[in-house]
Amino acid sequence: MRSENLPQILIALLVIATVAVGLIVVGGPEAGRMEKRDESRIADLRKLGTFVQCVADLNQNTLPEVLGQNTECNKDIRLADPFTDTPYQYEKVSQTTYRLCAEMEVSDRTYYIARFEPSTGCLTLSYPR
Amino acid sequence: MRPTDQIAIFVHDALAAGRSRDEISEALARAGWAPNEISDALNSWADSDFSPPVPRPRSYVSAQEAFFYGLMFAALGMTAWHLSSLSFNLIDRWLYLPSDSRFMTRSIGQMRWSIASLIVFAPLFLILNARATRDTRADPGKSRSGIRKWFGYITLFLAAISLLGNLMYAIYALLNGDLTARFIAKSVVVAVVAGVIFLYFRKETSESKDAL
Repeated sequence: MRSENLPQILIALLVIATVAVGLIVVGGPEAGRMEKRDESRIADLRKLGTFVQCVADLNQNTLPEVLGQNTECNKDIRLADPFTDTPYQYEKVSQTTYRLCAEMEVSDRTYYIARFEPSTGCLTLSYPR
Repeated sequence: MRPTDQIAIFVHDALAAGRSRDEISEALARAGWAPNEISDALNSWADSDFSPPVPRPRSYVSAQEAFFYGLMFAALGMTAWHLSSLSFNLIDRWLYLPSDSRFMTRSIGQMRWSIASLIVFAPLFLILNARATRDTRADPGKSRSGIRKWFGYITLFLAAISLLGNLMYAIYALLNGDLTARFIAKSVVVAVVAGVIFLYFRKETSESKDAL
């Protein structure tokens, strides 16, 4: 009786084992939601990057010291994290470099995005681009 | 469908020769035909005294069987494929290389897809297979179903191709600079999945030695 069902038993065991390990690695639905929130934060930062470029262009080609609303450049940007309401951080690193930071929920995921550092959650951009 | 023709011709000849239906079914049973095959063959000739026997209209292929076995073997195929795919992705994560970072997020998506697929198709295959085994035990003639054999061999063919493809990919990755440990692990996965699939089909095809 046992050897008759051996292939089916093996299939069941292999599937259960692999799915269990897989779920541990990828996380459940909550992990997916955290990743989506992080993705939207990164998208916000990139839009802010373009916004800063625009503001700098209007400001005699110099980077602003502080980030604020600018009606001429307002392209639907968010200055704060929509999920936690903490403002995004802007830092003028030098005359030609600036940094935009957000607090990421999943810091050990490797996002392959140019100039983005996952551990700090900061996008480092240069001006002019 | 040669066996079905054989038995149909025999029943026709026997009815034309004046044999009763009971005699015919007893003779067939003694020759080794299963109850469903005997009743199928007798039902294809109308129960009247008209001579020669009048054929009844029938469909040639059982659509229900096609649906059932098609679904069952498709579920097996999906299970085997995604089991390999998920295992490969897990091996890549476990034996991590810094040069991998580019593909990490994509592999997470792929793994989620494989997990979803396995959750749906693996239980489906096991349930349908249990049902098929139960039906065949009750009526051994079912294992002679042409549909079942054809779907089975097509699935076996596709499984063989995909496993050979996986092996090919593992060797290619090795030549392309993959870790030897990864290659060994992936080959083991291919061997295990191939082994289980062929073990399953060996049982499946040995159940009936009749010609296709």
